[in-house]
Amino acid sequence: MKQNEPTTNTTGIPRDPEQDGNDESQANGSETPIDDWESQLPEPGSLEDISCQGPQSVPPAAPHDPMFPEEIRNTVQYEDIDLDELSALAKLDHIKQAMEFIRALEGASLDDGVSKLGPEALHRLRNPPTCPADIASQDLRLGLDLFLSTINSSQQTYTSTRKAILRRHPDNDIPTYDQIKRRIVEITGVESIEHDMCVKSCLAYTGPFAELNACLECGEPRCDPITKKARQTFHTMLLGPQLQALWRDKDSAEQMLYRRRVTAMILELLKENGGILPTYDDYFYGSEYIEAVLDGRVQDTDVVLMLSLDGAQLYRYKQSDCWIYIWVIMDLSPGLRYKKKYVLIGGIIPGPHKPKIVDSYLFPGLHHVSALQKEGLPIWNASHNVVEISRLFFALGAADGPGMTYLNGLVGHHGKNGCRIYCSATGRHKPGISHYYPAFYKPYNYDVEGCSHNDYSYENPPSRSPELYEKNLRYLMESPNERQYKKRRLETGICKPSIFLGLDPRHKVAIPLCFGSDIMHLESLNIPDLLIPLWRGTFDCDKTDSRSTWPWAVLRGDVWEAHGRDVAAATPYLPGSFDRPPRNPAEKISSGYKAWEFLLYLYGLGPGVFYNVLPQTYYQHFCKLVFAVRIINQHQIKTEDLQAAHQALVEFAHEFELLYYQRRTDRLHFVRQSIHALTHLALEVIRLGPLICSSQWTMERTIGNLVEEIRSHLHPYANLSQRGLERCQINALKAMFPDLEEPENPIPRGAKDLGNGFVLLRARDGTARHITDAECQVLKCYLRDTRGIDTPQDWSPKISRWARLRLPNGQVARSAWKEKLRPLEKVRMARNVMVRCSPSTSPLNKC
Amino acid sequence: MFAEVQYYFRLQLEDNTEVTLAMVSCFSSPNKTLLDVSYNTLRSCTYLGQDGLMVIDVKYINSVIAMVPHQPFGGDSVQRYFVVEKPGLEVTCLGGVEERVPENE
Repeated sequence: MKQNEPTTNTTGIPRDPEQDGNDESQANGSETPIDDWESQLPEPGSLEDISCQGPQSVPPAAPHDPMFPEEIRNTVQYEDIDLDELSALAKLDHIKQAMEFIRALEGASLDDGVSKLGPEALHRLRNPPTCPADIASQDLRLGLDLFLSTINSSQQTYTSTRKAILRRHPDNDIPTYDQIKRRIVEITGVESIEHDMCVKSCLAYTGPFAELNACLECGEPRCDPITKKARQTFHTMLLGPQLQALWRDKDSAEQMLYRRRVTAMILELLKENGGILPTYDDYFYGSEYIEAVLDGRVQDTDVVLMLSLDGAQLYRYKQSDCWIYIWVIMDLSPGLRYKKKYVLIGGIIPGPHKPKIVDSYLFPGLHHVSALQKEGLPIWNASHNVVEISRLFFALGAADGPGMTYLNGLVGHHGKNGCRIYCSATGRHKPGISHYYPAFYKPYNYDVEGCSHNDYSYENPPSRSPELYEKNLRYLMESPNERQYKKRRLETGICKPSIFLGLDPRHKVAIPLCFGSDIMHLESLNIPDLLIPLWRGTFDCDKTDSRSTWPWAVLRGDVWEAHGRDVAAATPYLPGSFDRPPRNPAEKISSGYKAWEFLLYLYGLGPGVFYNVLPQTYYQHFCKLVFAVRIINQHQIKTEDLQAAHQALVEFAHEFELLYYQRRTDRLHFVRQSIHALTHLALEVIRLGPLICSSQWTMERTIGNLVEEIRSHLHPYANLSQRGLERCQINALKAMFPDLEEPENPIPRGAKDLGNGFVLLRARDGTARHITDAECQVLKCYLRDTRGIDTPQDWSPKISRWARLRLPNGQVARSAWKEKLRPLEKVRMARNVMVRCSPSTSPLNKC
Repeated sequence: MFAEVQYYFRLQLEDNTEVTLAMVSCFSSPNKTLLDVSYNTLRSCTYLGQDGLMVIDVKYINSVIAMVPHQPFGGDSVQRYFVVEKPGLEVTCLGGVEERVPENE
């Protein structure tokens, strides 16, 4: 991390011979002295970062200019795409079709019937009640309590419990199951709207497809010929009423004000620091958001949204695709917004087949958002007792690699422009194989049409700009025929215009900038899926290559077995708060090894368990990745740490090419998109705040807990939709009536609340006891050095020991006193702690 | 600093304020060679036991970590432990998975 290391060889990484030579690549400026990277980095959190175009395109003046708002305004680039013009360009049917969805979204209105809201619901949406909700009747309250407490059991449980109460108290007027469900709709205003869809899941009959009688893709008729009813439908949960519910209670409304408070604080911070942020503590620290605020596109009264899409297999051993999208309300604090209780289900796309035209499924939900962006959603803010007009600001679209192509309309990871954040680096492929790999360095003796560009430089990588996207999109749209379309798709990396173009540019982050990275899949699945097979020597090896020439392929036979045992042996030492410990990879890596296990295995245990296992050069290379990932995964990132992480990631990618791929055409397939994606991460933090805030961990968890709740395996999809709606209704209820819920993680009996999130927990000594001489000695030292209290020579206090301490971060620290009473195999050791800053006495030179 | 908590206790001071302290045994500072070779990611310490005994205010405790035993210098050398922090402590914390606290144990 030192700035001026003499040469590249501090870690034993071989220099690339081609770069040492005097050949053309050097003339090309591609020499990559590692020591120079840091100086190439933009100033931490400065305006230079905010323009996000890499150092070379930044106007020279700005960084410390106190007039930062003006400066930022000059660099604001929000989407400026003329949809009329774009529509006129479209020649091909599928492009026209995508455009029709976009135009329908653009023209959305609450009155146009798409959202299917009845007059009453519409009236309520436009005229929200301006008083706190009240459960006047005790019987209704009993019904709600009963409903909530039986939510994870069957309807029968509610009914029989109700009966049991009525037997004892026949006068109670407890609502029946159907009644209580209707009352919940009345109280919350949260309903789902149902649209027809293809029985094979190809498309939904929405927008331009609304009037079709059969599927465009598979030809299956829409309705049953006898009943005349749609053969399959899907549900969309509209956001409007759910957002209104979040403001209806004073405490909930107070929570929704988090964004306003933090925004004001960040603007103040920027002003004080000359446009530089010392840390990135949340999404709102990212330049995209700050730009939108300074530009007036986000107002205090608005709501800032993230949409996240993912597909899941409901059952492991049969085709059972199901796609779900959720909304995350960024206005809530990070401590709340990712919780089950606040994550809103947007819509559920039943399977078992994969949807083909996902736009048609997203349409009803996005249409509603678009309509509310135009009209404004009136919200009664219980905290201030005012009605405010809220515009929905679309800040982020998130998904894993395959899901993302549905949102951003790009080609995906194997394309020539396969970078998911649409930087302008193009890949290279092997002769005769059309899969592209984003190798920056050109292979030796390599001449493949369209791929033979010279080396890119990691210190000065190809840039990324919205103009490039616009220009390329127009070019693609103009394709006169299918052949040209395919050619242009390859050239541009764009498949189709993204449906999100239909949202008003004033109320969103521009396409494709609103689509970020996904650190969860990248770090915990894609990277392990590359490195571990390489290290095990099981990775694909071309005929012209030989695994015996792979110095890194050491995890074989006994070494792999022993390594696996090391990983598993760590389990008792991993605290329970670390969640699921990684299983023995030598036994379990191919049986559903979870993202979380990979995370703990590689980035937690990795430096320990790979030491003396991987050859030193490869070990040191790997450690750079670990170093960076540990920073990138944080939710509060210091700007200086971010810089260090960036340098490490860029070095890692550069060295990966040198150490593994070694400019060999037959190893191009090593240089997967995941390696390239790493180089963007730190800069993405500057744009979008800590990436953990927009990661797919929330989505994965939501899918997990929704699928767990499926009660009918005869009709899993219908049941899932039902559960999704109930989740939204219950979340709205809990927001409106916080007291419907037991307080979270209450302070247990006998515990002692110490304030600031610290709680002492039992067990506790029944009677006070003397401590050992050694203990007494260090206690006296502490009192004298830290508290300035002198104790008499013969002082011998009696104390009562406590066993556990809950920390502000939710972890519970334990103690040797109680943990040592239990056998190791029954412990997840949690008595080791990190102590913040060294208190005055160091144990090594004690008094 | 990394430490093993022996137990927690409360102490009444002369001015009648009560402080909550922890009796801990510190680990050594991380081995420099291993730090250097690992881009500062392998923090390997020895356990100091009675020699590392000290008292701290519990509010200095930042997080629970793992100290995983390993033998980087071979089987006969002194037992060492490497530090594992919960990767992105907030990853699950943000999702609301808080540790369940049994009444007593």
